Amino acid sequence: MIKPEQAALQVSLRPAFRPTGLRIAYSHPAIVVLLALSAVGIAAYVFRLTSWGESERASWAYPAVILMFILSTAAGAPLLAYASRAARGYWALPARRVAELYIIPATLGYLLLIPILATLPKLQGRANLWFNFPAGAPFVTDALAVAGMLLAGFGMLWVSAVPDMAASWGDNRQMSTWRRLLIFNWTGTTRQWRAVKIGTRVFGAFYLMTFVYAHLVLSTDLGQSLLPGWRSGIFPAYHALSGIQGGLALSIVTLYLLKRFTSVGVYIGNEQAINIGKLLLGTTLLWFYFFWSDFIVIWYARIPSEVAAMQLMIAVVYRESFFIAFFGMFLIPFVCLIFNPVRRNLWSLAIVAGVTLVGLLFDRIRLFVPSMSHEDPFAHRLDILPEAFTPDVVDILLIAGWIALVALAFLWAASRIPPIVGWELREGALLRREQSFMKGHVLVLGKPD
Amino acid sequence: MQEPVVADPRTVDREILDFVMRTPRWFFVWAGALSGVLLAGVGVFLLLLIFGLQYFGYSHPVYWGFPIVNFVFWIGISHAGIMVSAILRLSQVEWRRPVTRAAEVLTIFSLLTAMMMPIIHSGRPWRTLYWEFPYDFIRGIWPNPRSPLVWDPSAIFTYLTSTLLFVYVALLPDLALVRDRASGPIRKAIYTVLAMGFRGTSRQWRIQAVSGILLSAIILPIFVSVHSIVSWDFAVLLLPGWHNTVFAPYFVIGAVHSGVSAVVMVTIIIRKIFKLENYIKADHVDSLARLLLVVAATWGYFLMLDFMFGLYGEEPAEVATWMKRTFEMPWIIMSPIFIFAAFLFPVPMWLFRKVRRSFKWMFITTVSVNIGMWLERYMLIIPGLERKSDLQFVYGDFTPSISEFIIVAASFALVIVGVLSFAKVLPIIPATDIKEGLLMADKIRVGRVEVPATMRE
Repeated sequence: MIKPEQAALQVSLRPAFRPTGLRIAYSHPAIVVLLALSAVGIAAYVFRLTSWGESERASWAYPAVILMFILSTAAGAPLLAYASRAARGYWALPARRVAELYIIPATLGYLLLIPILATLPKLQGRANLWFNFPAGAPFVTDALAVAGMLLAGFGMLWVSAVPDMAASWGDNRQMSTWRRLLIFNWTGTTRQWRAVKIGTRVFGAFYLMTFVYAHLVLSTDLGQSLLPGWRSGIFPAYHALSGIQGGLALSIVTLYLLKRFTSVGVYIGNEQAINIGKLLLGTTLLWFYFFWSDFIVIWYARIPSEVAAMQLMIAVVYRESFFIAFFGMFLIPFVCLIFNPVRRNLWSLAIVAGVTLVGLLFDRIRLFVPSMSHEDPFAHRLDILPEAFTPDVVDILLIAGWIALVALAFLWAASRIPPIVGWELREGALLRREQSFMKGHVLVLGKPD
Repeated sequence: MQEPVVADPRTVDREILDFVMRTPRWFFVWAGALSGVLLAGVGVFLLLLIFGLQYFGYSHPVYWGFPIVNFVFWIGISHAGIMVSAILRLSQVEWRRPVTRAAEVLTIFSLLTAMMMPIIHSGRPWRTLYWEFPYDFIRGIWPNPRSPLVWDPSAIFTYLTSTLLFVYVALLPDLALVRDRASGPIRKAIYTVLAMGFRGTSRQWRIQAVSGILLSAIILPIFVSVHSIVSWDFAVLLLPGWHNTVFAPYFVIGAVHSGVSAVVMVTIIIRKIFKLENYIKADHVDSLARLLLVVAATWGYFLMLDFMFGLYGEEPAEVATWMKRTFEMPWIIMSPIFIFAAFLFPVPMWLFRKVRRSFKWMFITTVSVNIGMWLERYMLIIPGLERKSDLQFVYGDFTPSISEFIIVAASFALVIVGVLSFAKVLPIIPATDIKEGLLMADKIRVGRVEVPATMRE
């Protein structure tokens, strides 16, 4: 039996468990490095904005990579919270808020999205998802899609955080008006609890839908439709799936770091590792399945325009990126995760998740750099394979800086909102107990609805 | 789960084995009627052997008619068993217990039915042998491994073998149960051989449990590969409407959509006819409906991708095929029926708890899904073939013949007779699984409320 952490089972109602935000020492060397990198990332971003000029789309190719990386990791993480709530998975209780909080760093992607959308060419004369839709596609439509996703994510985070914020802020009568408004004057009535439970599920369902939709439109508008000959119906699904895989990997790494370095680590343990590990293994296998489904159809059909696009991204020009992605997102995780000891241990699982994240970054490079940097999106096919578009110093600083910025934004969010869902942890402690059964020990799980 | 089974193990054995031990009169009436339909199908098949495919009225360019539609449909239904049984077993879902056996049995018989369809479709079944097996070593004639004609049988035989193994391992304790209660020397001897000496020792239970979990894990990739390979029969070709990379997951999730719906139908029917109200409760159907909601939403997403990326490249042939599938007769009538029956009607209904917990409504909605999914396969296969393409000098519309309808009816009869016959000789609900559920059921007191609970190892 994989036991939950004792601290999680002993969370009590009286005296009430009041989770608090993380305390961050801004003088800690790691935080200083993150701050410095973030500053460099912002500077690189400002530089890109101010040096707007000819062949602008190509210069935003690597920023597009980091945008899609953020939307595939930070924006993918909150789905863990929703999925575990929908499936009533008690094992995920300490991981839910950690996953949800990533919606705040995901918002940073919006700053990258706006200038990138501005570089897209007109729709007429090239394959596109919008069939020459007149009302502002793709700029307005894509911006709205991501905004909708972020709003749903914020809604989910807010509703689930209300009871915890109310608990940590103390007596309503002594609270400032804006704080009272923020927690809907929470007093914990049956009606309010019902609203919280329904609200988290409804916002979560909307988040899932908008996540899938945002990945559909962005992966097509920043990817397929800019590269002549690339026509793959499975690609948006592949992109959303790898986004979920990235979200899981990011959650695992974060859980490990929280366990290792913070006080909330007492609630996090191998129970989360074994279960999220299974999900990561599942998404890893699905990654290969989706990739193979794409590959076999194009390879077998031998249509020259499709084969040329595949050669560009897989076999010839961006071959190295593809191999790193293949090893990072499939081969290494698969070989490691089939072994129970790897999945049962948060430390070993975090290493595998880290490898997955590296693979994901290179996957996004091989997918979006060729399309964003291609000069003629109006052509019908690639007659000659273009050279690889390599990053300059600004691109590298921007990638490193924005990854640091995401980490910093998460830490800031975790210092403001408790990174553990206190009320769900309490509920979990009420509905679970360990007991002996025959010659062993079992966990008894209550399922109230 | 809210409603635990309230019975002692002896009552469970008696009630679940009731139909195995005694045969009610209606069984003979139904088996006779269904066998009649089956015989009509055999008759059509014999005529097909004599006259060839022209008996179905096939003509250039549409040679893939109802048998291939049926093939894809039944392969789809066969995905139910593994979805419900293997995945839910691996994830230790408690409500799976009473529905797994019916789902597994449905898998076997729908798979067997599906396998017959390409043979019927070939018109000259003996020819299929040299497509599949090496028949002339001297002249070095081998099957072409690059052909879907080789992929399909390989995938389906692997799936059938592993499914039989999976079901058999799960059946062992129940076979032992029936063996111990069987009357008559022949029946007793047969069950004794089939039970393989299962006595319920702790070692045997451990091996049975571990092999069940291992087989569940092994069978999952096979389950995904089968319908993917069926989808590649279409997708790797250059026919408009077929060449789409999304086909593999679209087919698989569509199969699960129709398959789980079929499991709900079968579950509701066996509950009624075998009087299993104490074991199959509203909770089980509710849980299956929740599962169906997720599956149907995913299927809807892939359907949308298929449609969008069919039109995405704005290639004239592709667009024309989609226009035909949507706006030309008779497809203009079928398209709304298909989308309404498979998605727009059942999915919003399943959002309501009252519908999810109503046996009547769940039966209606799942029947609707399967009508829609059969039409989906029909609409996928025929229009692409009907369209006039380059270097093709004839147009042809496809009109199904009466004989094809008989083949469809016979295929349904075959599956129903198969499931009924199975239920006659072995318990259609896994008695040992139910008893294990009784053992694992518990309660947790929260304040003044007692919450149903289950033990997890």
